[in-house]
Amino acid sequence: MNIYYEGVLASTGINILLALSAYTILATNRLSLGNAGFMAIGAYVSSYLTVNVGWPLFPSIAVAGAAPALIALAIGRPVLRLQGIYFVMVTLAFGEVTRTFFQNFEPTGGAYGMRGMSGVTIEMIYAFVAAFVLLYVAFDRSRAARLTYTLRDDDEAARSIGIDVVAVRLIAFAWGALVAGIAGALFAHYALYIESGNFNFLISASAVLFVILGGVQTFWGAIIGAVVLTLLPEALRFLDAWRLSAYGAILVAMMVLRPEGILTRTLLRRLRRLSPR
Amino acid sequence: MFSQQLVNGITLGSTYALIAIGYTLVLGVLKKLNLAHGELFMVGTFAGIGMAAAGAPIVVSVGAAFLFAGLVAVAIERTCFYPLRNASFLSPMLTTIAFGILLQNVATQIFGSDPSRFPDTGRSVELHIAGLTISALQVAILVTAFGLMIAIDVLIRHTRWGIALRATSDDPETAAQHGINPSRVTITTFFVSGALAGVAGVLTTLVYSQVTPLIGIRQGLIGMVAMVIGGLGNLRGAMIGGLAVGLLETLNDAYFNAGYRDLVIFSVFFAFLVLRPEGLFPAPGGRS
Amino acid sequence: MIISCKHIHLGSPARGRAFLRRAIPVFFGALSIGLTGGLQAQQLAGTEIKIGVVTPVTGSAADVGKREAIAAQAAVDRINASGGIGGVPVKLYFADEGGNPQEAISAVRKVAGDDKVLAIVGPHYSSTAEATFPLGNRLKVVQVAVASSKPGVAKANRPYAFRNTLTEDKIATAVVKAAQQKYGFKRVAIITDTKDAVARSLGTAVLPGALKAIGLEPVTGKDPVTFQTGDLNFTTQVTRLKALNPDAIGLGALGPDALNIILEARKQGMTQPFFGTAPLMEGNMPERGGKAVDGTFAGTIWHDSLNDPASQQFKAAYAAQAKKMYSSEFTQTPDYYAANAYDAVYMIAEAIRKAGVQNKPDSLAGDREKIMEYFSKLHDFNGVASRGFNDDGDGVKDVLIAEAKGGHWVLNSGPR
Repeated sequence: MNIYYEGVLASTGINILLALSAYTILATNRLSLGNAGFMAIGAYVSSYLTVNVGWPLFPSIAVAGAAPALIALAIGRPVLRLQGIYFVMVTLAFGEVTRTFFQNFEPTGGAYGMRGMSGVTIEMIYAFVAAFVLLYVAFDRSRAARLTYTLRDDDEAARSIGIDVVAVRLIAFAWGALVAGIAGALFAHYALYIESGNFNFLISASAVLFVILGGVQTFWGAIIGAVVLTLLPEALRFLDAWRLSAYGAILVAMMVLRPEGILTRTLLRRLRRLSPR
Repeated sequence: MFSQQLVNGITLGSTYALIAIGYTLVLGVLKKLNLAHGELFMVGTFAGIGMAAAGAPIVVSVGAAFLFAGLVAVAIERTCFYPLRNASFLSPMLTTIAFGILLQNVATQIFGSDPSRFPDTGRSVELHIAGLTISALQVAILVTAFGLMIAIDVLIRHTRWGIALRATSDDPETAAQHGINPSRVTITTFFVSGALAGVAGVLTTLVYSQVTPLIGIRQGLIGMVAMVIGGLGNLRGAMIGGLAVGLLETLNDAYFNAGYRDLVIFSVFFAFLVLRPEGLFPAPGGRS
Repeated sequence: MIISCKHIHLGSPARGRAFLRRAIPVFFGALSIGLTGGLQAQQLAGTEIKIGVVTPVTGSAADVGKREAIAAQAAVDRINASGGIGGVPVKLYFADEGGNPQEAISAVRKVAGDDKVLAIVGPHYSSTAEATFPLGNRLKVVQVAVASSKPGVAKANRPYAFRNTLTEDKIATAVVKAAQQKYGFKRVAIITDTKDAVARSLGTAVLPGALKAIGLEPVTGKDPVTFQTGDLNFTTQVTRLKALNPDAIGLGALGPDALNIILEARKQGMTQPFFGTAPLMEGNMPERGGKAVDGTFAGTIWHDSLNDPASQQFKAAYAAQAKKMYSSEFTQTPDYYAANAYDAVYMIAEAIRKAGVQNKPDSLAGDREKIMEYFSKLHDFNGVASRGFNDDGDGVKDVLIAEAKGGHWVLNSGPR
């Protein structure tokens, strides 16, 4: 395969994981602008394990998922008490604290960044993407999914049918962190070099934009959003120096003209009617 | 040295306060975040520099920044907020992030990515008071910033616009029933919010240094921190929050390592949101 | 005064055989060029010779990146005007790297994989080079970075990574000596960036090392005054510097930040001289800072006040191309990064001419390897500001000392 398309495909795969991570938290009616922080933890922890400790790749990726999930569980209760813009801001704060921490933390390179990682291939990235998509498909058909999704609309209604709102939201938050952490580990070992600036506020914002622009109705929306928004800046390369201006303008137009995203409720209904039962 | 650093911190903090007040005004009326607010600081700065480069005096530059950043803020309202007025707070907030990307990149194309500065700030006059060195520009920044803060405070409390703004903020439906046009209140609020950020941009650049089109990202985040520390939805709180962040930053750099500055500021931000989300001065009526 | 930093590497005995194995074909290649008389030795295949240019034209380094792109195209214009390489015209394939590692990876993949270029000029920053150099080794294609000067980046990515830049330690040694001669300072304070990797290494390692070489220990010790790239406000830092009352201040800073620091120092009544290295030469500090920055010492490898024949040709070609490519006023004057990019294109052209590159679709991998091998032995290149590469893959260049005087950088050496 053409190595350029391979690289774009790899970024797309990593962005799909980031989108799924943002989607999961959003499905419990919380918008996180700090997922780049979880991604950073996954990237740095796995890189430290493979480069400095000499661990093999797969156990390192597993720890890269577990570490941010544990941190999410630890900060989850007080943080998830907040809602609306307060939750947006507290996750944003978390992302920035994490980024500036790694900018100063010398054991993982500090301002000099970290190199020496390798081993992740495009096939591996898509193996993870496929595994997570299967998990989401399976989850979506379960009773647990219906319970989780009641949190989207109304906490009181969810409580009234006996759902432990706090626990469900905490699990979703930790799961979102886990997926972002694995995305970070795959990114670090595919990109071969990381620095704290890779995990800035705009990465967190993109993760959420994937979901909103793809459509929040199902996780397929998040995936479509990630694919479209990863390919868009590449498709705009012919614009040279105006490329990112056009990217910003197209994003604004998409948000305003199609606020429900690409996969709208109506579109989904039509698709369901088409698909044989 | 300590008292000198206090002066430095208060001057810096007063520019942060102007940014935080703009944030708070919009949040008060719409209950929504404008994440392109930092970009208004940038846009105002470049408008001011553009005027100065064309030979205009500083006062005209400040006026241009006020006007231009205000108008861009209105454009943000019309593009990102008005069409999405019935959506949840998420959609306009994310749209403002996209609008910010647009503004940063267009500014890079127009003004270049190399840092820009005012043509010649001239030889600065220094005042020596009780062993402290305060430049005339520092005094100007303090006077302008505090003047604007007091003006906004008076406007909010004693003018028809202020009453309409507060009424819309408390209860938009009742306000509309009493003949207040919420759309007009929103537009004027955005204008004022942008204008303050624009003036903050010119003042900061005049006194301190040069700017690039990407400067708004951090300025916007810092303004948000100041707003939260002061107390969401509380204008006077935002002023004090701005001063607090300015002092925190200055004292960190003076006695600690500048590399830890943002780590310290965002840790304090995080701690406030978790432990005291209502801020130092909760808005009256428990609006948060 | 020109302090020559040319390095002649003879190679250790252990590597001797490998050296010979690689040197023999080059020797005969060079011989055959000699026999057939001149540079147009060999007819190349194909209708165009593809070279990639990966520089930022969006983002925080857009202006610098555009200047590099203009300079590269200016070199190509001159090469094509004199008949291309082996009768085949050169065509550049540009890809924006946005000053951002992820984008840079995509851009290098695009020109290497999609456009199938023979070699790449770029990327710009050290952080983007850190991301794309390992990729270049995997793809087996030469990259010549033109701005990156963070220590060790090319060395860690042998054999395909090259940087046509000079690492800061060589410049610092020369600058510190020259500034000390003029000012006779003893107590030096250091202020350093903590965010930008190059400026940080300047303030924490390179400048203290250069001071140590002349027997001085900075008064700031192991704890220099700190700031972050792009800070707006330097009152705090300058208040700290002033309290230390040094004879001179060393700047671990990029040009724009350095200018802010010096102006703030003058505002607070400090009159001491400042010195730094090549990053200070970015951003027209004397033109913007005027009298306040007079007496500031810096060092560089090229400056647009140079008027030797090679520099004149470069400046003329650049000026013509700048109007066509990016017409904004910010990109009309070349800086030393642009000179590096211009030279990098000529270096690649020389390698294509002399290393037996065929330019056939099925010879791409071999052609790329030949360019790498040619570069690994390129010590006598005669460019505007480039002499070749050392064993670490970093540039070999002459150091020029610059002092800010009356709104301009004045080089302490005459035209070369």
